[in-house]
Amino acid sequence: MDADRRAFLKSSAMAAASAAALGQNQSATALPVVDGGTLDSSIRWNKAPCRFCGTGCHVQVGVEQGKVVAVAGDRHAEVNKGLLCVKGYHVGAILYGNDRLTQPLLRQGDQHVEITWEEAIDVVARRIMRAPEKFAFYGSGQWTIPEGYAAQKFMKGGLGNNHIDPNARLCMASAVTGFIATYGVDEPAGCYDDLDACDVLICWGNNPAENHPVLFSRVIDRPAHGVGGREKAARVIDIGTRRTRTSELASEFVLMKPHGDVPLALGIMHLLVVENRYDAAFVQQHCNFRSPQESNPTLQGESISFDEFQRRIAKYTPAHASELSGVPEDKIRELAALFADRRLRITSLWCMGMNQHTMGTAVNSLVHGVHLLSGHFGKPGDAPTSLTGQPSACGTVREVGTLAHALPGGRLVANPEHRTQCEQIWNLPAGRINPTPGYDTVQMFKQFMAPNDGAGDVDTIFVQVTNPGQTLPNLNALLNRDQVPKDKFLIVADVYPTATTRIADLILPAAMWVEKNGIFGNSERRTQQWFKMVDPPGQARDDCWMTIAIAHRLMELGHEGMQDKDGRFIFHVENEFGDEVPIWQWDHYYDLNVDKYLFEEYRQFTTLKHKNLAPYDEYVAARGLRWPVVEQADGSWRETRFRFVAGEDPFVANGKPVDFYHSTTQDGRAQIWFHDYQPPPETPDDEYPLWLCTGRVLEHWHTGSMTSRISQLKRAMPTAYVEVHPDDADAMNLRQGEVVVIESRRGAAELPIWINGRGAPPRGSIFVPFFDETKLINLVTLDATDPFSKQPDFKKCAARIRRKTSPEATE
Amino acid sequence: MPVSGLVLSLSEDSQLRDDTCALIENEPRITVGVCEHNRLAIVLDTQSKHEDQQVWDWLASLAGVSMIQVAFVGFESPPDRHGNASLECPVTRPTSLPRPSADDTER
Repeated sequence: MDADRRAFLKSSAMAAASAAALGQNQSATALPVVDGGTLDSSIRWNKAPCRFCGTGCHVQVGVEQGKVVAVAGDRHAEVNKGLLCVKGYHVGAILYGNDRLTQPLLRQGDQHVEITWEEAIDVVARRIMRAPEKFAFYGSGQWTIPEGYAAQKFMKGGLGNNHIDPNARLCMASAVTGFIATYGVDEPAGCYDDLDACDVLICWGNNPAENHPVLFSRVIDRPAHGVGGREKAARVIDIGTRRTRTSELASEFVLMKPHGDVPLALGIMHLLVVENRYDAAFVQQHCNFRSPQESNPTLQGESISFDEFQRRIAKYTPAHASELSGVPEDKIRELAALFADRRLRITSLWCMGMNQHTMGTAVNSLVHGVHLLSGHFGKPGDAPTSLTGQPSACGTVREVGTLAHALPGGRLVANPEHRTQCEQIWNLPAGRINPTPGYDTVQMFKQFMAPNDGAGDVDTIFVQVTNPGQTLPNLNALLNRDQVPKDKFLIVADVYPTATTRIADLILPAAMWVEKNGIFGNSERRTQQWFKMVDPPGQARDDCWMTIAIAHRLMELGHEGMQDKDGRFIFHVENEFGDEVPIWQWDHYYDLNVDKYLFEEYRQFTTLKHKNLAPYDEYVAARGLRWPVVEQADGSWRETRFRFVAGEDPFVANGKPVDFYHSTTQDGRAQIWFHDYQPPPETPDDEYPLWLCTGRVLEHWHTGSMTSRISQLKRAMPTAYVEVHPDDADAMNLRQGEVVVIESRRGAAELPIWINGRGAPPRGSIFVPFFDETKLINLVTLDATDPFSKQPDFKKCAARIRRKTSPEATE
Repeated sequence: MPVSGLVLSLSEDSQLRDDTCALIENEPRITVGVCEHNRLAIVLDTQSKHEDQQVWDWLASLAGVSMIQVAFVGFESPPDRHGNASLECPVTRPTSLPRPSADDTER
């Protein structure tokens, strides 16, 4: 690099850092896509959301000679205000690991052999054609919106088969059921602006300092920039089962037992009610009370009176709540007093801790209930907000509806009106869509692992953009490489070899991130668009193209479902002259913008639940827009920061300050739920005396399939480990770094001991991150699920540590 | 050989913050920019990725640095091509591969 160029890069770097430090960001809308003011003119720049977590930071991506050569935080982006975390620092490098998959590979015997794309598509189509009802599609919250929409249409509108589910079932399904049970419609009412405005931030089993660092910095660094008129630091209360980096930066840490969030929320509600410190006016105007029916519990539950709610919650005294949660009584009283103080603005944040939970729906509903009961709702900074771990868990999974029971735009396969609406928009014959929900993730893989001549009625799974061979719980039961029945067939599209590609019968090389057009939807309802900037390597191709090509091959083979009722291909696309563009042929896929075409079709579905989206071109010009986005009288499009609130949400009825217009009781009210505490399905005992919790670390994202290709990140966190409390280590005579066996009733994994490591679990519990494919902790975890969301609990099961030299568990 | 623009979140403790700033200013690979309250803009210019990581780790280890965030990264050449995972199932390149059919998809 010559001196002038390096000096220019340094000045650009300083300009960007200074602007970010000073908080010099501008409105995200109506700004140029390219921020060329401080950037090297020899590099071509464009915007994209970061590829990693659900925060949705915007990145300026610099391309030179067909390669990504620079990355900058987008200072015009409201989400990240010019900043990125350490993973965002390396996001450009994820494209360039040396073992990218570049050619379709078919298993023959114990080898994978290269085949052509034509052959690969034909193999998949013929496999589906043999038994379309036994085919399942396993997708992802990393699917772009058009990818998920195409997969959804292919399965439910084409094959008439609802066995499509995303990996988001493993990470945020309980948030979905919590929102629907409470408000009648999914996704947060608030947004990231709440972080700028809150006086108190409560992290419920959440570690945003490592998992959503840029977002967490909005709170921690608030005194520096005084956003939202709040120059005072927020009081951050970290409630968790182990100390984390969030605890280090928080004002205080509250240790709870595993599953302790349920009794803690109940204990806070109890105090608000018995001390008559709840917000009676808010509750009277805007809330009902509900409880699950004992027989056939549903998300609608049954109505209970306030008196009945009061009677049921009476037993959750501070003493009882403390006994169940492990949180001291005085701390429960202190938390209740905070919620009782209506002068404060309180934001609750949660993510996997409350979602990966066999009472996930219950605890989500209860925390919403704490906010509703105390009136901490509907004002900036007063919000219960769940975060997502994936970049489009909201946009693709929850909004497009790629879950096994869902249809686009909040519709349900079981609802005949919803099926009819979809069939009409898709121009399908009536009755094409199957009314029976498909298999959720856990059930899908159970059916896959069961022999076809037994109970297993899934014989082929197509996996896109995810890695279930590492992320499914209880892997020995759900995706055991050595026990996949011989008559099953696993197809995996991915960018790198993974634990799942090793099991696969057919591997399809995929394009990623800025190697393709895309649209994500982040945790705050923000829809974010980007364009393809570089070519994928070798024969790697877009996931969306794969789906369309398979659909077309099925049509050629005679599958009637791949045609609409006029005999046209279900992914029929025309150019401006009215001629069909053969987008199923890779050479023609980019003849037009398929993303735009699919998005405009999908957009028709979004008004039913008032999640209105703007035309595609509006997102090209913006750093994302938060739905509902509605057109103004002057032709401009306006986003919505806070839902259900007059003056912000355009769908609130005139004269109402707050209007839950999708209320399950159809009276504009939200539901405050009572759920009785149920113990975890497995607790430590004499044989397995430790609690095991799993999760993520700052350096690696999910299964590490991208971040482990970055040498800096790999060096910074080279291997998974097991965090052990020093006293437990002493009692078991374990040494720092010693490799031990972590085992449960389901399986075992070998990991090195880390005492006083990144996090600090209390005595009797251990923590293992799941990013390391050489140390599969999900061989150990439990596949028990929440009864409503069907989401597994990765956060707690009974385990033990065994020294490798000892046949029995270490006492 | 990355050039990166970083934003450091510094301690609220003014003495610790000043001490930390002094340490950082003495690091020759770092150019210090504006400091607004507890946020310090710096540019890190190193000769190798390994060196870059060393300085990053040193910054992260300082008691007065609570968070490091990134505003800009420039790579001298296309980024890292030294991943270290590989297909466990070997890839072969047969000269004459039989065309697969649906029957070939049985394990």
